[in-house]
Amino acid sequence: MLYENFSDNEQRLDQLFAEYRDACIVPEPGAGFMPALWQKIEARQSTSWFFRKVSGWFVAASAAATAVLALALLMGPSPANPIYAETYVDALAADHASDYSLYTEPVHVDRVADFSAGGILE
Amino acid sequence: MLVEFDLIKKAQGGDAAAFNQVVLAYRRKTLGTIARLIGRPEDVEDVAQEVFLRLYFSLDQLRAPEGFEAWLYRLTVNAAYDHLRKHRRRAETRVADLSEQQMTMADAAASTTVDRDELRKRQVRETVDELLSSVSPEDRILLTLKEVEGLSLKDLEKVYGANENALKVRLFRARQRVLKAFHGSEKGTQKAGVGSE
Repeated sequence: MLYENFSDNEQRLDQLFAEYRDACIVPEPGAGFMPALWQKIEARQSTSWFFRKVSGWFVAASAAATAVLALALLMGPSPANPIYAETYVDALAADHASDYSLYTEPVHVDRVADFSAGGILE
Repeated sequence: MLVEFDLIKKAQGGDAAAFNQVVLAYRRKTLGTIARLIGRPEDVEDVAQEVFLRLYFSLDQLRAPEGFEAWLYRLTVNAAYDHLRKHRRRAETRVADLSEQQMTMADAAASTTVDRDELRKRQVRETVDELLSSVSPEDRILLTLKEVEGLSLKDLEKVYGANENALKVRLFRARQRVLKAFHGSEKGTQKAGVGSE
């Protein structure tokens, strides 16, 4: 019964879809359709032109800054005492040495009272 | 094809007059498709302009003029989908209330002030709109293209660039959902009919 209903509904749904095609209101294109379309095209073109222009300025500015920095690095005086002149092995050795210098043993200190109590002073 | 391939090639090359001719040739057809896809006559022209706007800026990406109609369909589908997603509204009428609405309409028709044919069309539009609101905007568009626009699976394959089997499955599921909603609305109508007797 349920399946019969469903297959019946399938046909009615098909019929409804067919009717829907004719029932839909298709508006006639107004006289302002094409002018409005061209206005939108021009508006979007001018927006994209602005963004292209701005991004062009940014690219030019960053290229100029890169060139200036590269020139400054090339033409500037080389440091007399470079910070990273030592080798990896030197750095390791220095680090190792500093480990030894920092090594301390705990110092055993007796209390003064114990000396007196033990009779050393006596 | 409603226009010659040469005209499309000219439009692709930036010829504004050729683009104008292409728009004029496809305008009515596109308006009709959009009207059936979104079901809101007041928004059809805006969506159509969006379609042609997108066409203008993407025409250079079209490789072969032979694929123009599928391309235009794809742009139409995307614009309709964006519109439906933006304006996804709760239908003012619920399926269960249709019977009451139908009775009101029947009364209006009996008063002979409204054309019966127009009334029937309005009823069909509202019923289908309601049924299609039971599926997602994507499925609504796919189902409308197949069932109302009459596009074949091959055509849909070109428009969506998807596998035919995947489309079949999706269509079947969407149709089942709509059918279920239709079955529910029919039962509701029958119950209301019995109740009013």
